[in-house]
Amino acid sequence: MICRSRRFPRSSPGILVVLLQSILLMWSMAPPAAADVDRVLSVGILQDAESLNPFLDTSASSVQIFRLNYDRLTDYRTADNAIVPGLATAWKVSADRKTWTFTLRSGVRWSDGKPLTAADVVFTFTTIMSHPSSVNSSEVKTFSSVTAPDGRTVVITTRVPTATMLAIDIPIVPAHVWGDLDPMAEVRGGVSSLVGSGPFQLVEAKTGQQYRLSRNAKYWGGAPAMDTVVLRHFNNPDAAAQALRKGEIDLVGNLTPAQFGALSKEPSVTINEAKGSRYTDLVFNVGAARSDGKAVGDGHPALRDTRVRTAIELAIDRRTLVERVLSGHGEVGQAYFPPSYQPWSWQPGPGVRRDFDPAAANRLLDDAGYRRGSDGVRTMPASGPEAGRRLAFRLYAPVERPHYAQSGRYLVQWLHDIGMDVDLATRDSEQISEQVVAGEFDLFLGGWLLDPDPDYQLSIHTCGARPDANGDGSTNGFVCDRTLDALYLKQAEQVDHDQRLQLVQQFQQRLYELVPQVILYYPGVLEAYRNDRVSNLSRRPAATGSLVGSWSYVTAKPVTGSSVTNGPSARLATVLLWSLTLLVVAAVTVVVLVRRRRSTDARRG
Amino acid sequence: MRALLVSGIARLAGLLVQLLLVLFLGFLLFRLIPGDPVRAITRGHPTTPAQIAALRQELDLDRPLPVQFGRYVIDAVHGDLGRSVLYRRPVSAVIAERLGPTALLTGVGTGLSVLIGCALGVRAGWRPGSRFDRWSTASALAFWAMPTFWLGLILLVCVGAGVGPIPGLFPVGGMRSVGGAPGLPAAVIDVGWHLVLPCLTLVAVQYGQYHLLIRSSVIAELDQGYLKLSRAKGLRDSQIRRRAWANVAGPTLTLAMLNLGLLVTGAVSVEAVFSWPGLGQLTFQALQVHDLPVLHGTFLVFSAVVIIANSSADLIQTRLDPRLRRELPYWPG
Repeated sequence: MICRSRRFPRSSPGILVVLLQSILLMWSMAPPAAADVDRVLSVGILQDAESLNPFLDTSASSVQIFRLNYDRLTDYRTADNAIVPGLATAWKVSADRKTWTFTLRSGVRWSDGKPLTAADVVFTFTTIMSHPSSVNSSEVKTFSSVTAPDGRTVVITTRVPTATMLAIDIPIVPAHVWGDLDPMAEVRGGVSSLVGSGPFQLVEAKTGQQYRLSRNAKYWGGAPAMDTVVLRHFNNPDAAAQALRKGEIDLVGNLTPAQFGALSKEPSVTINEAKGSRYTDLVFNVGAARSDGKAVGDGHPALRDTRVRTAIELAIDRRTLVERVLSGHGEVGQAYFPPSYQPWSWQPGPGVRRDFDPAAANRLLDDAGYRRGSDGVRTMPASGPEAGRRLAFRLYAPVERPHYAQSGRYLVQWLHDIGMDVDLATRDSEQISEQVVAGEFDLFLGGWLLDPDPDYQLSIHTCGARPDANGDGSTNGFVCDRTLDALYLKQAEQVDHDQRLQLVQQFQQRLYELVPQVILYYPGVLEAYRNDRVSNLSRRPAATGSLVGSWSYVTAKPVTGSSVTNGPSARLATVLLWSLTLLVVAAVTVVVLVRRRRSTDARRG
Repeated sequence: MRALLVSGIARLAGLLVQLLLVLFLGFLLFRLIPGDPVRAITRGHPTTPAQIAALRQELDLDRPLPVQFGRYVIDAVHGDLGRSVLYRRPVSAVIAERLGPTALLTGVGTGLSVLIGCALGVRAGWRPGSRFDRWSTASALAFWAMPTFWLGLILLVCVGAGVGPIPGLFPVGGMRSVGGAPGLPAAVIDVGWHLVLPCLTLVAVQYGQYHLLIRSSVIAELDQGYLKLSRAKGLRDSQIRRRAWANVAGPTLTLAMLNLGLLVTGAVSVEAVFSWPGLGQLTFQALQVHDLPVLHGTFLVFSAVVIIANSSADLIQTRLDPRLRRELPYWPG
């Protein structure tokens, strides 16, 4: 043990210098940073890819990997999210709209050289249909059979017309590899089993660290310009932002306004604010009940009154929330979907909009009989149920993102101004969901990420989405309305795009009339990339969309003559500078030590 | 000899009882957290009722709690820790993958903390009140009082990414570089390079307690007769210190072993800040989706490390300090 060494305590500064010097030496010998290597696009991810089995996982990072590794029958066009051919080059639907015939692209090969045929498509879909716990099983819930009359034709028959048929986001996997594997278990053999047909192939997976994908030079859609895409996992968004600043990664998304602001000052970083893919809402307990109609929970009765909910919406100043809470990085909310969520978004006309108007809110409550008590808080009208009960509400805000609690504090003040007493509590979002499903809440803040297809976002406002006896359900705020249910069913079975669009817009209009929630704002998705390393990234959709996704990695190009900031010469200069500083420090330490030793020796003598 | 055997068996039995308690506690503890694993992993995705039911059955969550506990204990005794809800792989495989990085980080961190704490502590205690003592004790206290994640973030921003004239010297996260050179020596250098900042954070926060403990133990020894005798015999300072060290080493070792167990858990925040792919990171992720099997597994590993470290500290202590071995005649110095 070094502690036993006789001279150690006295020579510790010397050891420190040696330690620092060896660290510096290691640094100069350390492998070059990511971007020094040509044609590598490294992307920071904040969520780990959980499983590499496409039948099991739809976490954001796994989906990125699957989208690069595999193909789908149809795809979204990057420019405008319109449906375009994927593995299928053409499709037609029968007169009864229940039989779909897809013609596959010819000459597509798997990464192991075997041809991709209709049998692979049949295998993928039938595997999901026969394994209900598979993650994509809801996408095939209307399927009754999938067959392949020949190698290039796939016929899908459904029990009811299925509007989302062309939006099915299921990676097609090779039957010759997966036929021998248990589709519900983690892939044996790791990345070697991920034989794919997509623009990149997964070649290395280190859980919790990084995922490396190599270019598929024979990709049918044209080989990508980047040789390698690396998804690097960060636990901590600050570390990811710093890694971008330093050039350890080239692209990162999901930044906070503070990180975004700091990065915008860097000359070699370009920022992007994507719009139209998220919303944040204040949800009311409009009368919690299970899907069989049995009432549950302890929601405040006042919130069952549309006038109270309307008054709350009128009391909220959304512009202030966007400016103060989001630092301007977002759009003011109003209808269910953001205006840039095209083509689906519906917006209320000028006479219908419920904009900030606290005086109107007070009038509405006064007229409805909610009189103020001596403490300024309104009470339930004398004629109705629970007469005299104070309008005191619980408001839950998820702890995961700070903007919820910040918005919550504004809401408490604004609702106080119209005579409501709100108690704000921040909770783990998991805990909030449990309370919501049980109906034990009055108000909560939440948010969603929108898919290009709106079906799921509509489904969470149907009677069937309310929890069953086990408490399983996807409802947002227990809305149950006949008109909504009918519209939802009609759009789900409407195969004609234009007619479905109308139904989806009618649905949003009806939802707006019911006031089951207040859409507060549509937060921008904040992203940044190194403009000295990578160019030609694509937004989806082109006007307002996000740069972080498989569509963007495919078009990305390296910047020639990159590695300016962290080049070998710059590195050498810093090493020299630091060695010099260290030498000076070491010299000073030695001088001080020698002098002290002399003085102690003198004292002892 | 027979007494030794009996005490050994008793110790082993105690160990087993402790481990069983850990199994039981771990099972109950994580079920107290509100949340449902199936709802957590399916949230936000379109699902069908059949899918939810199938997942419940697959993850064994559809049975009554006592049955779940029984199966869990029987499986655990057979070495099967179940399958991760999140990763869908055996928990033992998931944990094994993460054990190495955590052991490396905490091992190197504790080793360096002990070395630095000992070196500075002995020196500071030898001349209490001296300038060296005042400065080193004050800085040890200051570092010890710092929140680990805060110090980590500061180091990450200042030394990792670089601020103003300070260049970004070390990687800001992870264990390997993206474009790492092939070959073992390059890999060792690369990992070592990534280890610097997380390790520095751990050492800075940890070494203080060794420093303070050693310092006070040394001060307590200063007035002992055997030291005065040695001094009277004309021995040099460094030789006298060596004698004092023998008596000081015991408590330090106990603390080091105790900490080794706690450090595995303490590394959670360091791993979170520096994206170190260890057990702390795994636990953090598992908590977010209520991955009960993984939580049970990591809880078991953490507890086992603490239990084993404590027991071995007892054993080594007896070896190290002859006074604790009753068979031998007691003789100070």
